[in-house]
Formats: sequence, structure tokens, C-alpha cells
Amino acid sequence: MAIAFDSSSSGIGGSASITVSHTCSGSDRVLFVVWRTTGDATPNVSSASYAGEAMTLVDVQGANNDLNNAVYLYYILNPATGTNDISVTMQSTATIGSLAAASYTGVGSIGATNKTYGTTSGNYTNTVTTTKDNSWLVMGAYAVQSAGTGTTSRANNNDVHIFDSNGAKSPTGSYSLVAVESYGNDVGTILAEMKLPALNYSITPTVFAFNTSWKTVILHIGKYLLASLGQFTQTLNTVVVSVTRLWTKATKNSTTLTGTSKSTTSWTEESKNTSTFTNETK
Amino acid sequence: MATFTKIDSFVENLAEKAINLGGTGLTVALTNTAHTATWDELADLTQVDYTYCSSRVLTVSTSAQTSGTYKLVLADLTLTATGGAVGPFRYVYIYDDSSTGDKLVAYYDYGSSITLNDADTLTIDFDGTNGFLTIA
Repeated sequence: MAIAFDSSSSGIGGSASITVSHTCSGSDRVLFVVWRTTGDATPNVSSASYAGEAMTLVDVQGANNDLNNAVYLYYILNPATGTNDISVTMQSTATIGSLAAASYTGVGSIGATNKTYGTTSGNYTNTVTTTKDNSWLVMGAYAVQSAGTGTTSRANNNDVHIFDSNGAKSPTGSYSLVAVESYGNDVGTILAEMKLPALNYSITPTVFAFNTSWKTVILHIGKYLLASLGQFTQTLNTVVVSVTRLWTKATKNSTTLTGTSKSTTSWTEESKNTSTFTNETK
Repeated sequence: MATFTKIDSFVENLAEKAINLGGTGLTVALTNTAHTATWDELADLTQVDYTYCSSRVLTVSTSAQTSGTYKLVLADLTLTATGGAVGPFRYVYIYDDSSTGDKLVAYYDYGSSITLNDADTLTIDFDGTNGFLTIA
């Protein structure tokens, strides 16, 4: 699913706190909120929430680098759907001037960020190097009046703006949003990359079984059982080991073999009775 | 399921102690080039750029025999792209990084080329019970 604009809202402050109603819908949502403060050289946010859940600071930039006139950009991933309140409270003496908000769908996370400032009228170009293909850019800005080249205004109240790229940036690389200031005011802008959700691939490998087979070979010579050997075969070729032994003498009684010995020369006698071998020599 | 495809030279390398399955060298390599039967070493692959890729080293859970059957069990591995893209790749190879020449063991075909963009992941889900391979 590609990134897309969802909805916008804005409101006027006047004290250290502000509440603005906003409606989020769709899936893989993100809500960006920008506001301006004055009257405190070291402003601090006491709380910033949407539907009671805390938002996360992207960055703060003093207009013309002066925090007496500061612009804040916050965001929250997967904000509650439906209509809920954006609530911001500043500490100490800071006063919230105005606030603007824009929500988007199809966003997985926030990537690269950058901020700029200035005091002259003209184009304010804020640039980041994206880290993921098909990201969008979003920018909170103060004291600018309109969108520049390649930039779309989504929410605006009393010169507090939210802009975006209104399209995916591909491939990854250096991209900019441009805001136009026409009166020479002190300007501050904060840019962020909106990235697509992560894709999670997986492979499930099969198990490979290497199998070998074993065979038993029984060898015998004549009437004697000599040995049994195992053999290892990995192919159809069979290796057989055989053992031979020279006959010398064998005596067979009525039931079992009794012994053998080797004579010095050769067969001397061999007789066979009418029914069985009694002895034989070689 | 991704089919285990044995590298032809693997059995010889294993028999001649060129590969140690029970060591710490088993590693994943990624390529988008189809396998050639004569491939034997990591240098035969045209690998992707790993600049944005997390660790590719595999962990041996068990390497042992029981009743004459050897089983190698590997822990699952998740590759994560961070700060940039990894790929495109289609083939996931496993090789022994501790062997001379980085001998190949096996590979899996994902079926199509993929690219891990920033934060994308690829999980290699090994069978924790039946193992990566057995030798009986």
C-alpha cells in the first residue's frame, strides 16, 4: 500500500495549552502536529498527546534560530482512529500561537529529518537524504505563507503550516520541500521522511538427509566359517574382502573338527572310507 | 518450503575435512545469479552488496550424532536491511567461512528476486527439530 494523505486540522492558541480535534482513519497511520511558541527563550513541552497517547518529538527549531519564537514538530505512529483531541501544554511562560496537524496512511516509520531557519523573504528549501524507496516527505514550518516547487500545503493556521511531497520519492536519494516566505519574517522549518512499512520475507528450508547403507558378507572356505565382515557402500559398486588359508591337515571326528597342522611336503595319504572322511594330509 | 540443494563438491569437501559443519563458520551469502553445478567456493558467486545488511553468520544449535545418525541443527537467522537496500537476490547460499576458499555447502531458491529495503527483513526458518541436515 502506498503512502497517502488522510486529513488535516488546525487551531489558534493563546495560552500555554491548546486542544484541537482531529480525525484519523485508514491503516498504517501517522499523525504530524506542528505548533509555534513565543515568550520563552528556553521553552519546554510539558505534554503533547493525541487521544491521550504521548506523541514523539521530531525536532524544535527557533525561527531565525531564536527559541523565543520556536516551531515544534511532533508525530505519533498508529494513532487511534476516529475523532480525538490533540492536546499540547507548555511549561513555564511559553505561549502557544497556533497549531496545524495532518495525518497519513501507509506509513511504517519515520526516517531522515532536517531543519532550517532564516530571516529573509524567499524560498526556504529543506533537504533530506531518504533511506527507503518510495518515501514521502512532510514538513512543519512557521512564518511562511505558501508552498514552493514540489510541495503541497495540507494544513495552515496563522502561518503555521504542514507541507508534504504529495507523492513517493524514488529511488532513495536527496529530496527537498520548499516553503515561500514573502514578508521577511523569521522562519523555521522541520522536515521528516515518512517510510513505507517494513516487508518481512521468510524461507523455510527443507531438511537434507544423507543416507549410507551397510551390508554383511559371510565368507567361508570349504566347510569352515572363517569370518563375517561389514562393508560400506555409497554406490552400487560392492567391495568384497576374502581370506584364503592353505589346507594342511584336517581331522574330523564324528561331530566336530579337532585341529589342523601343516606337513613339510605334500599330500601323503588320503583315504576315504565308505561313508565319511577320516583324515587327509597334504 | 525452500528446497535444500546440495553443492556437488560438498560431499567431497566434507569427507576430506575441508568443511567443518560443527564450527562457527557457517555463513549466509546472497546472489541473484542462478547456480552452476561446478561452483565450489564463495568466489564463484556474484554476491549482493552487504553494506546495509545485518550479520549473516549462522549459529550452530547442535552438531552431534545419536545412534549413528548425525544431525546439524541451526538457529533461525533474520537478515535486516538498515539504512539502505540489500539486493536484489533470489538465491540464499550457505558456506563455511572458516574453510580454505570458503567452501559452499548448499543453497535455497526463494523463487523470485527480492530486495530488502530499509527495515525489511528475511527470516531463514530452519527446522529446529529435524535439523538443517542429517548424515546416517
